[in-house]
Amino acid sequence: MTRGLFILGEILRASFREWPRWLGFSAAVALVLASGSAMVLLQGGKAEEGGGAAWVTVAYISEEVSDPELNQLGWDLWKLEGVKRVSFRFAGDELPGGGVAESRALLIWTDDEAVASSLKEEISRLAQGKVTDVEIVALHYPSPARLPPLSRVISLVALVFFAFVSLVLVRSAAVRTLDRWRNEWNLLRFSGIEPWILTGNFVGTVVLWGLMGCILYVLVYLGLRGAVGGFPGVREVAPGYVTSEAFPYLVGFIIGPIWAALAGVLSLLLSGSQSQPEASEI
Amino acid sequence: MLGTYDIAIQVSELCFVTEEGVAVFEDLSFTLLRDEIKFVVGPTLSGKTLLLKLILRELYPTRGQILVAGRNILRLNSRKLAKLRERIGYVPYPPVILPHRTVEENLRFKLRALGIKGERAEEGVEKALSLTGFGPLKELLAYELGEGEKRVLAMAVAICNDPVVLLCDDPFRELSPSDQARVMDALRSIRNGGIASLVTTDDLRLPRRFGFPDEAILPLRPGVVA
Repeated sequence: MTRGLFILGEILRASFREWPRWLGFSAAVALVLASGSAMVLLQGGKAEEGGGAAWVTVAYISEEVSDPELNQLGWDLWKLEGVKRVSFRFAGDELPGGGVAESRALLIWTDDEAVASSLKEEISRLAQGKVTDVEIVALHYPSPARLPPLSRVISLVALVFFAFVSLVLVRSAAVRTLDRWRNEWNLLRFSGIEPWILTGNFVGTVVLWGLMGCILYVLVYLGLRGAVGGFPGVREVAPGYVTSEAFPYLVGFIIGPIWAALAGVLSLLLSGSQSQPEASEI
Repeated sequence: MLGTYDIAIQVSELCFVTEEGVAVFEDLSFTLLRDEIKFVVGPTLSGKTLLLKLILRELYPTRGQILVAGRNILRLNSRKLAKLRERIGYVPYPPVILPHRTVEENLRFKLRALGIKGERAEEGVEKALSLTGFGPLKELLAYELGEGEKRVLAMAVAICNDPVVLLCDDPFRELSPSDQARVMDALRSIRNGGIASLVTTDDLRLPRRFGFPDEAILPLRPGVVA
């Protein structure tokens, strides 16, 4: 354990001399995670999708109608074709679309204006003239904000681009760090330290640098959410961004380090020929 | 009669044939005692470095047996081999040292990487410095050393964890006579410290020039196509 930590510390120390490249790799990891998150969280779709209208028939009920009768009336109305739901308001309660109920009222919700109009007669018939007034309230819901579908394509392109950039940067940083650490690597190899210990510690170094990017990602994610998460537009465009508490931690501390480890292994494979001990003759 | 403890390396009927069919060794046998320096002498491509790699089990022989400190290295599993491998000091050619660290830091780097700390580490450093004559020079940076001193430093690094044997690949190559004498003094001192050495060189006269008898020389000839 201590030998592993010592070797890890030594490789990490050598990597600090190439800090601009490693920092670039960390930033690229953060951008990989950010673009991947955008791809998952953004709600793409056409702007008109999700909007709609509803018609509410407000039937003011006479004081003569008892509660059980009112209950029965609501039940009978709910069974009519085209009725979505039936609700109740006391006098003074707020009505949908603004306004206040003048007296006890049943609210019959429909999606169709014609159905709402036809309900007037049905209500009078069922209530046997104990309805003092009937009015229809039209409700129009605006479409929720949507980003064009292209936004997710752009996120995907960004994800691939930053993944590529992170690989280029980690390879460049790895080659230079291994070059600086070549003597140490060879000395330990010739001292009998098994190659997997050296390789494992090198990948560990890459993961540590990648972890910096992961922490940066989580901090920016949470900071941004704190700043703009309350805006309705943000809730509509990316509901998961506001509601999912676990998402940034899952991405930042599980997917991020896995990506960094993969990048580390790939960087070693790509720079392998330059990290081998020098060959002696037969 | 020699016991297992007295023998550092025992090679028996060693054969190695390359993929191209060149028989580099045919029934090579020799014994290296714990208090001995043996010179493997031969021209280029005679198999000097190959022999060291076979002893380190970086390569497998076609046939034969290699015992290091009484253990058959060809039969050890990877964990046991790794343990034994740490007890074999190896100086490759070109030798590997850490030029921007001091002499002492070179030794401590290896010891810490092997997980050796405390009293054992102090003893290892002291013994290696004293056997190689680096005591007064331990604060010098490695790149400040002369060519012969660098070779000796590589040997000090190789022996600082108290191995049973030191394998040196061509430590005299391209050195001035005075540097060669410095390396030879270090080898003798290491031998006197209880660590056997197997040393390769392509200079047949070198061991005799330093007063070693014929028994200390293991001549190799270039391999032949089998």
